[in-house]
Amino acid sequence: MARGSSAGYDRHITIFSPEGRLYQVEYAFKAIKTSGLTSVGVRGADPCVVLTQRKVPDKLYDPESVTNMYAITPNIGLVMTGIVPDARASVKKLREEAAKFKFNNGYDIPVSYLAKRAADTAQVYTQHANMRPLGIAMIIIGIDVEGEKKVPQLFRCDPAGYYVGYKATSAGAKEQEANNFLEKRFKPPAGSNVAVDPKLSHDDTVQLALACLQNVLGADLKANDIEACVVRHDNLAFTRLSADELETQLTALAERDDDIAGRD
Amino acid sequence: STRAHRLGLLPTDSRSLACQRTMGESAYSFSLTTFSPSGKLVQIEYALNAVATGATSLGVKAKNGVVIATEKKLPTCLIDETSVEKIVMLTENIAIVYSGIGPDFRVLYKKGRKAAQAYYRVYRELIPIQQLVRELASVMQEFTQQGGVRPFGVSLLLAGFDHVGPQLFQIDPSGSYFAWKASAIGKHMVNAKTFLEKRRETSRETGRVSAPGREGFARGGAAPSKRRDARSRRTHLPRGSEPVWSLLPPPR
Repeated sequence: MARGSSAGYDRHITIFSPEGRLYQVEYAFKAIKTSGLTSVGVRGADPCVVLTQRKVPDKLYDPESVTNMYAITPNIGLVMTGIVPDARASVKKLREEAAKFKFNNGYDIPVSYLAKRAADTAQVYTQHANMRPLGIAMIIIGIDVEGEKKVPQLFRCDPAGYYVGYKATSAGAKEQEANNFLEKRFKPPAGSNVAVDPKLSHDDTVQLALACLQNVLGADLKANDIEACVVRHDNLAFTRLSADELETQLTALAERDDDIAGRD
Repeated sequence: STRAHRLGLLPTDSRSLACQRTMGESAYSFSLTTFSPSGKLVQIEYALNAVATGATSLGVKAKNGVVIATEKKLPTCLIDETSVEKIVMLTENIAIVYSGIGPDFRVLYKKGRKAAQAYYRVYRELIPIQQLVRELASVMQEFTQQGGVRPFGVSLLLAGFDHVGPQLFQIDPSGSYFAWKASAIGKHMVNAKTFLEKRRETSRETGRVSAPGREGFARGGAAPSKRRDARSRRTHLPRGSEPVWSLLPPPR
């Protein structure tokens, strides 16, 4: 009776280990952290914002070409954290999926369905041994328009093929610390089980994301060290925040003294 | 032809739902699930271990319906719980729940839905539960034999109500399936099954079944850990009675 000796290929391809684990998938999660960057996504009552660190590794790089934010459709975008070439391959596939959906069905792909397609593709790589899982975690944002209602959406997909909607989440090297920070602001009060929905405004959402990243990185952020994109009710397009806007928000955050600033 | 496959231009073989090629021309041509010297298929055993680490699910059959339930304990308060779907409808009279690897479950219920629709397209009738079970089980078996893939890391509990009456089926990663009067899968299945064996009576109505079902949950799911708060456990209890199943609200 084999007693947990993984002497076979279970560490090299996605087959089960004796305990029922998929080591290749677990290693893919570790690969996400090798990029050294952290990303945060927050869903407010009106907008959704995704924010990530920005490191231009070499002064000779054209800084405008360095980005981890990608628009999948004009109104749905995502931030990718992890191995950049894997990210680009995945983005290409998602753009094809979204365009095919629009062509076949005549309306824009809902954010949850795009997230599901991304996750289903990731699941295939966890089951077929000839393809490795991708070393990326993606945070997808968009606003679903249902008649009069505009519903902001934020989803996170990972190499295991797991996807779920979030009020706020993070990915990357410091995701544990970032999630701890965010949980404190969304945790239901002691003794209650009702989910908290603070209905954050645009400024609050952006500043919460900035505060979170600032807190986990342990240093004040500068507009050049980060990139952020939002989707809003009155501007559904996935829009990058300019350096000036980021400066304004950072200044406003520095002057705040309440829960969002999180100086704990 | 592989390029055409990749572009999605070739029709997929509708008879074998499992053989849908995705990108990658070089799929392994040999099976990864092979016999050990003692005659065991160890990948399937390991898959069962993966199921045993998953959240508990259970099902109970009654005279006029079936109840299935699962533990829905989210790892963080940041998750939007309305986006988490653990119990899923396959047709208006069949619902399904799982224990094990969530992404694998998504693949299976999608195939299940398509199988049900394909049947309806031919016969203009809702698919009998046993036939749907056979299709899904056959898919799961293929992934224990086909080249280059691993078995599914889920066990499924299928609840439905058709012309035969209410039925509850369990399908394992090997592809074997059985009809049950009551069953449990996942982490606390042993405790839950013991509880169900003692408390069940076949003649019960669904209303009175869901109480033991929920209790079977609380009892069967009682872990030694003192930190577990019974209030934080939520259960979905869909039941297939008449041709329609419904999702019951979480208990207070």
